Amino acid sequence: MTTITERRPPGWTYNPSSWAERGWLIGVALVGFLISGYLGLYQWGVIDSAWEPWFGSGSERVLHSPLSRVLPVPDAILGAMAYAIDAVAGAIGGATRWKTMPWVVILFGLAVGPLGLVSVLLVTAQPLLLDAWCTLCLVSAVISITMIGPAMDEVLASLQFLKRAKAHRRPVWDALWKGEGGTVFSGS
Amino acid sequence: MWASALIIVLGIWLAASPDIMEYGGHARISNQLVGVWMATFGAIAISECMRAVRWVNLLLGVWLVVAPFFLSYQDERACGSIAVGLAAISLALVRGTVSERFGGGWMSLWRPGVDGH
Repeated sequence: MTTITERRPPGWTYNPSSWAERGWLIGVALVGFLISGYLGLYQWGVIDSAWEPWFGSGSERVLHSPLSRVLPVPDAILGAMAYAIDAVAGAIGGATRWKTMPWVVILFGLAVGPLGLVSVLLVTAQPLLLDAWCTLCLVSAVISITMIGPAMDEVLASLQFLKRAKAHRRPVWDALWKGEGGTVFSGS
Repeated sequence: MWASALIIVLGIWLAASPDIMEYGGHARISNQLVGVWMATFGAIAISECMRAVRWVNLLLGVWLVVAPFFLSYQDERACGSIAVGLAAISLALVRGTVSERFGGGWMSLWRPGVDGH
């Protein structure tokens, strides 16, 4: 077992890959998956109505808008898939994965960051293009946004790890997939 | 961090105000767009390692101050835009407490050398 200090990236005061940092993100992603999946089932016609406490026919108009059908799959189904990737990529790897599995951390960051911003784009489209708001879509966007900041610290630690690997003349590609394992370079 | 939290409130108000105060036109579009993004960046900037994102809200605040002149809307809509813009600029300038260290942060990735701290 490594000590707590060694689990931290160099120059850090905490370990961004610890379960205390990641555990709740997985839970939040699962809630997002359930909400988005529910909206997707409505878009597919499996459910007859979507819950809308405030904006009247807002959810109906947003979820059946042409914009939501630009791709072959309804956008909420894609959102549910994104949340599933968030949850799985958040769960894979141990408490030092910032240096043992950088590729998972970077996949996690790509799923949470840019995909989260796409959900914000969709939210801005609601009032601008459709003149309607959709409550559960907003809840889903809030969940996506909440995850971004807390997920990015781990990405930073992995990018710093890759930069150190490169400075030690190790191929970045190799370090990305294999982490610190199996080489002389420890990365810490 | 309280300044970012207040910016989230400002952003939500901005996005909701065209519906609450019932106005349309360019002011409506600008406020809904800027409001949603201001709240988003405010939420991201709460995280200590992403605190620099608050500078984006400073730019959005500057836009709100000048928007009435560019998009030519007046009255209470212009006053509201300028007031929210000035508030956002002030709040974006507040760095807030950063108690953790991040190995030199994001800037370390562009700095030459083995260690960024």
